[in-house]
Amino acid sequence: MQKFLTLLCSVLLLGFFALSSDIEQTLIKAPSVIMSVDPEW
Amino acid sequence: MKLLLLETIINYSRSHGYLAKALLDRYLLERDDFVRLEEAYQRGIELTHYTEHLDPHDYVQFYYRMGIHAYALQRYDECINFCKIAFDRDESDNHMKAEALTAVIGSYLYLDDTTLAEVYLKEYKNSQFADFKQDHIQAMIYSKKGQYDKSISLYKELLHSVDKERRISIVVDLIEDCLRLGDTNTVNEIIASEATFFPSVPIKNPRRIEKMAKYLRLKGFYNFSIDKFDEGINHTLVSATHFKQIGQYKEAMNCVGFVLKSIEESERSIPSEIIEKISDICNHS
Repeated sequence: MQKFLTLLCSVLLLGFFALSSDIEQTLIKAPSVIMSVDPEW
Repeated sequence: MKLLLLETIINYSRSHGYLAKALLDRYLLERDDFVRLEEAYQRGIELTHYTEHLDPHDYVQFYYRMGIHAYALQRYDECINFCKIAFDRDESDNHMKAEALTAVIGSYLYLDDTTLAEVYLKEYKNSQFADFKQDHIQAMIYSKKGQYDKSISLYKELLHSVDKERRISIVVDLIEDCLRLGDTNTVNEIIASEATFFPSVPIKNPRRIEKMAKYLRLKGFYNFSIDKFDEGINHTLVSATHFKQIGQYKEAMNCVGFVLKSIEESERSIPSEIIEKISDICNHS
């Protein structure tokens, strides 16, 4: 039982880190934005 | 004889300012058609040959508008030149001058001249028409200097004080700084709080439409990253329509390309409504 719980926790943690890493990679890959003010037209 | 008569009429119109005034009216009308920003700008350039025939008020107003127009087209040197022509003839403090000053500061920041940006920021702060943009610019200067803790803190403060319709530009600059620091948690929080900054009325400012397009593209990318595939497609395509709205077809096509590549990589079939949306975006008319 303990082994199963350890295994389950490991899988969940790995999944979490993999997902965080995916988000980070995709967002960082987004084209860079030129910061700017927008004067009234 | 007919040609001589026509030339006399043209010369008379030119020397009495009728031609310049007519060209100005045409430019001001065409300028609000954001899809044709470039064409309207070229019309404005034509008018620069006749501006000496405009009355002093129209003269400075025209050059301020051309400066802001150049800024919207990311022609930063031209923005600075046009605004300076107007500054030279306008010693008063007025709303258009204040707005033109922000365009000049933004241009200097883009050109990496923080010193001149700060000089003009000081002038802008002295105007009675200066608004929240002075803090927005200050945050941009912090960001330019790599002082991200200061810039992020100021952007966040601004989001509480600026009215909702103008928040989108600040949000995008804030997200950009967070991404530079690799702080995706804050980016997630910002996207989750979208209701607090998403404009509720149509935007009538090309630079703000561009910021909106960039936000939607970022949100689309974010949705792809968390496996919300359909939302990812939708937001990226809505972003493309915003880019198209201001004549930025290359950016729009990049969004479409990203969507098609994502569909291909996922090995899914393309739903007919997505094909329809893509077809609408690709149709130039």
